[in-house]
Amino acid sequence: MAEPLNILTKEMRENANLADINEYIKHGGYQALEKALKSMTSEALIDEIKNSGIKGRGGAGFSTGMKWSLCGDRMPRYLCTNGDESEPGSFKDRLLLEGNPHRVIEGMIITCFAMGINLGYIYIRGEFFQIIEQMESAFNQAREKGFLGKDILGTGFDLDLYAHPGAGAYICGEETGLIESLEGNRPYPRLKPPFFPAAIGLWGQPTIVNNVETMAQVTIIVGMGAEAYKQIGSEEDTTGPRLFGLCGHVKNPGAYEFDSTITLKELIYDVAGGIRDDNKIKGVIPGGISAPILTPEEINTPMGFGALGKLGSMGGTGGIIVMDEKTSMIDTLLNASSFARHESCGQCTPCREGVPWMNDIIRRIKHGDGREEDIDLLLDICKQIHGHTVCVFGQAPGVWPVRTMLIKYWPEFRACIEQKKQVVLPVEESYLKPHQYEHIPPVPGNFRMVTEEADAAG
Amino acid sequence: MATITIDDIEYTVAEGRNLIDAVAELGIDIPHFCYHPGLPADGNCRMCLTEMEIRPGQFGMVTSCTMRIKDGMNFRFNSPATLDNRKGIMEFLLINHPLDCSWCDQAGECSLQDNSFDHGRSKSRFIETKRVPPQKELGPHIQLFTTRCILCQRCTRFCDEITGTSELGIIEMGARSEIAVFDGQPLNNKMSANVADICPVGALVTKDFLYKPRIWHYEKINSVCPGCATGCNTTHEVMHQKIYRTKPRHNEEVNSYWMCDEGRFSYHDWQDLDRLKSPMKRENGVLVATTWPDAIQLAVDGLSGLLDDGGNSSVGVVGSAMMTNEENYLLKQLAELALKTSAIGLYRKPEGEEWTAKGGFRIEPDKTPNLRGASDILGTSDMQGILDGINSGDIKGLYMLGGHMNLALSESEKSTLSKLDLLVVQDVCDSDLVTLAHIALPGAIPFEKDGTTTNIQGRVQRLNQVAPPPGAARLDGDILQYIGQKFNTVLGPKTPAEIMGDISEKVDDYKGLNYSMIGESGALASGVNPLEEAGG
Repeated sequence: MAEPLNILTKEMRENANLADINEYIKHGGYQALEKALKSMTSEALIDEIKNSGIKGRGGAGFSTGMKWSLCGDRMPRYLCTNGDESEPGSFKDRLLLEGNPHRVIEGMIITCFAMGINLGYIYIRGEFFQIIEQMESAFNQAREKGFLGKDILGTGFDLDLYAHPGAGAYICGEETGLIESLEGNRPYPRLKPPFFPAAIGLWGQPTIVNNVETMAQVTIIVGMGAEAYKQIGSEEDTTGPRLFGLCGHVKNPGAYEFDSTITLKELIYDVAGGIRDDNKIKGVIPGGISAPILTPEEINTPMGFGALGKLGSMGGTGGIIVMDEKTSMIDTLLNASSFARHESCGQCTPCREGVPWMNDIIRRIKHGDGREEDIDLLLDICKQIHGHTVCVFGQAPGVWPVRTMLIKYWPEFRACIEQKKQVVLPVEESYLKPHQYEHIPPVPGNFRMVTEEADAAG
Repeated sequence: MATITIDDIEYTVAEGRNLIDAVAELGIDIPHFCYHPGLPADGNCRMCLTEMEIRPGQFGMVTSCTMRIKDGMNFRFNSPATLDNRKGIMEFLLINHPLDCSWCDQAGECSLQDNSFDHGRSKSRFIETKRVPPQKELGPHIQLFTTRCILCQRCTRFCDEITGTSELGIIEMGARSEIAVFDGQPLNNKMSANVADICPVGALVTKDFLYKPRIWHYEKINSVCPGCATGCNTTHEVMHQKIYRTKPRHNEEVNSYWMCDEGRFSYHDWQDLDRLKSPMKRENGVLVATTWPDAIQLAVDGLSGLLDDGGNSSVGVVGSAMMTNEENYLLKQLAELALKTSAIGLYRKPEGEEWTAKGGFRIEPDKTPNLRGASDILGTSDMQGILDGINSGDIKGLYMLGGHMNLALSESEKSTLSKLDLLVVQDVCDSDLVTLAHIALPGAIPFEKDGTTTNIQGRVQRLNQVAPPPGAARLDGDILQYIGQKFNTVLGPKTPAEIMGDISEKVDDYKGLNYSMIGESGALASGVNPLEEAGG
């Protein structure tokens, strides 16, 4: 088994009161900032981030260095740190913000310095109101110490950061929805293409939108250097430490720090202590509810973005939801679909109309009114939504869970429809082996294309 | 110009326009709901998604409404991906739509119906319960049938970008989304009824056109709004010589796609006007009805008598900004050729409210349609000279055109006009003018005549007759020609088109104008057709 890492969570393990900036500095905080501002140019910093090979931790696993280099020459630029963590099953950003806010702030300051940004925001989910207060007081402490404000550390670099409470919807975490929300509008995502936030973002200016964990990673990369950072994890797949949040039917749920070479099986059995009551495992969602589900046969996979992508799933937010043999897949699917129904923003037609329709059908199947043609109908609706929406939401929590659960756990859904009631099949009978997928007519599109498209969408 | 490829065929279209507009000129229709040429594109309905070559050999779906044409673009309009998406979007839009076409006023001009016919399924796969949000009153003119709404947001964009008043918004999320107004802030801006025109379905309807006959039963007659000097282009929808609805007609130079509510609903006031339906003469201080020959004879005898007694300067004429260019021209001919007087005036209505919308649409303070044209033709823009002449006793007889709906003469005007020995008026209703008149001749309202008016920009635009004048009322041009005939002066008979021919010869600014050149979208009075000038 891979060794637990002690990088992102180091100071937290030492039980320091890290909301106090003095404690953070005592534990080595703000040294990366000093290194960056005093000894590095912004080009060197961007190169450092590119060299580190870090993939954004927001879910799609898009290269952070690439994102930064897409900003044109236009000024001013803005930074939006995305702390609107609301993906079901994810709780890593919350841990970082609660446990070590200055690590995130330090990363934000370094990012702003590298990108020539003088104004940044951190958009924090509205329900995390204590975190917002704590963040504001952390900003004030940083201002008093001279890490924020005018002429930071005597380098002539000015920066101010603000915390903004989220507007209470999942869609506010979509990067352009977040920008609209910051501007004071309904968080309707913008059309992409033609313009991505790096070109036209907040107030029409180039904007960097990065996840909270990515910001914390920036501090680490600059602190230890890209070469050392690259040694963590796998250079071919995903570098650096990751926070995995394990929840569901495991004995010891919680957030754990590992590199991405650890397998899902190790995480579940060795780290989280196995399944409750030593039951059999039935399915695992590896990266928040949007990530396509994995069957017991597929869990012996490394947790890198690339490895999960090859399986037709995705790294997502690292929120791992484990389900044991007593779980009803139709319940799971109904839960996921109800979430999508509730959180669809309603801007574009396919997601607004299609997602609730699927939810209705799934609920009907659960209550014993399923029809022969319903699975085909659901798959067809998935096809009609997929790729036709304004943002990835219609696909991520809208289509992917439905399509993958329907295909992989087809025997259990068939049983629900045939027996006209909710059925939980024994694990071995409940899912299909990968080579059997093709027996389900009709499989819409290329099932394994899913995550590649997510990568392209940033 | 740019060369683009559509389904392997090359076309040349204007560069920089969006795909929907560009191919519309080629006669290719891309179905869409949320896009409206008068509004910023939003791309939310997803109906116009079209396959485009994004990288060499790789195709992806793009929204046609936001895709600006560049040289070398390659589209697939008939590929399975494009067609399947249209079919899918149609299905999604209809699953919660009530399909109450049988009693929906939009039927016949509904994008949802048309696109469903072209791209939809014949049978629904939806067996769940439909959403049924309640109907709402959004404002004094607009009602929302919430069930029919497809949330294309044309109306909210209109209120944000065109009027700048932002009354409409969306409440709730996802499938629960509804168009709504804030409590106590109804949709009552001066252009609110336009949202019913741009609504692609029957969700937003004017209360004025609720449960009316089917739209295909109407005859559509193009005209110009008589409400102010802007001169919005309109289309009247007419059945049995009665207007059921007035809609703005697109003219980018004048009103774009819009018109104000006051102008839109003014046809009611005109149609309900208590009209003067027979000629009147004053006997013992009281106006009594009489016949046309009698009234005309009295007028001609009276005017001739004054001319004989006091010479040519003892009679004046006053034109009207409610009348067409042709009628004012006939009045001028009458003054010059028959009465041989140079005392010509033009009554100016006091100015009203003025308003400019965020998008540039303007309601002019001058509440008459043809002040510019009447002053061009009569060569004067007020009647102060006439009033002075009456007060000094020089002018004893006056021939005056009215035609205003609610004319309110000032006290000084009234007392001056009451000094006249003979006041002959042409008017449409019992006004201050008729109260003072010795002879009142019943004329026509703007919807009852053919002719042209000139708006504040100097654009000459055509009116078309919706209905003949009621009762014994006659067209004002015919009355003037009849009077001229009695003076042995040949003013006609001429049609308005022929009179425009005379105007183009005699009036400098109108040189070269004729009805075919004016056409549906008007022509500038400088004599140069702006369309020709622009190379179109």
